[in-house]
Amino acid sequence: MNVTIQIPDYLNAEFEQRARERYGEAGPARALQEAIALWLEAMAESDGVETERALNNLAYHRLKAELQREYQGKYVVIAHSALQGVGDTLEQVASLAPEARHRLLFRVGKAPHIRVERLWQMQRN
Amino acid sequence: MADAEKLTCWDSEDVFTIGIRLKTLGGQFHVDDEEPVELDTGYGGDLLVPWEMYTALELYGWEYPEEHWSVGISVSGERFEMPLSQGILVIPRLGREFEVLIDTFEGNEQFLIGRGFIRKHRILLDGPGNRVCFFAETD
Repeated sequence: MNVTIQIPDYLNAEFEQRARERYGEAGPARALQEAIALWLEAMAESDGVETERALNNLAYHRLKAELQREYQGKYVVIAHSALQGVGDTLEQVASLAPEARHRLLFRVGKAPHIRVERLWQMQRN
Repeated sequence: MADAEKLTCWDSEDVFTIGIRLKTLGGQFHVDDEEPVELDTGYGGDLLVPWEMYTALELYGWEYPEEHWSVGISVSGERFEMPLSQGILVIPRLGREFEVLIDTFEGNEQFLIGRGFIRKHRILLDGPGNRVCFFAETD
């Protein structure tokens, strides 16, 4: 498939130079294919995390009352939209569901203080 | 006043920094050696990490529910969520580790130790001496 795209001159000049240095005359086309593949891979990974994060937070709200009733002070892990385990220490639950892209891990009833952070107070530049 | 023998210090000629390593709950470190990280009393949490570090270390694997996340406000008034995770702040020169809460936000490039951590420890900002010192006996 032939596609025509416009790339800013500054980007194109460096891209073509570095692609040719690495792969020769056909370098730009090959590097562009690799870049697209990498971008798709990164987006799939990112979308996967976002999706699992949303589902795990939905599960948390579904389970919240039960967790507060049954597991006060315990560490819990939610992954794959379900409760994966309960423990007395962080170490006991930290490695549960290792294949999950996203996990929620927290101590029931020990909510961290929610703050409002002002960027202009904490940034140097 | 502190006994100088009990101090562990880092040279800090401009900003006040201490050398740390961040360890995930999975045991992965962000660097092999210590990295000087700025102490910032303008930030209220324990540790603020760059967005890229958050994702590279997959800190979302030990994340708090979204309802516990703090909120950031930009200079223009825009409000944004700050994902909250947890990990281990290692101070190699002290040979000690501390559980910390870890904030980030999309696009953030700053790596800061905030009041949440500072408030739990005794730290000396020695301006004339160009150094930051940690009282080794603190917990």
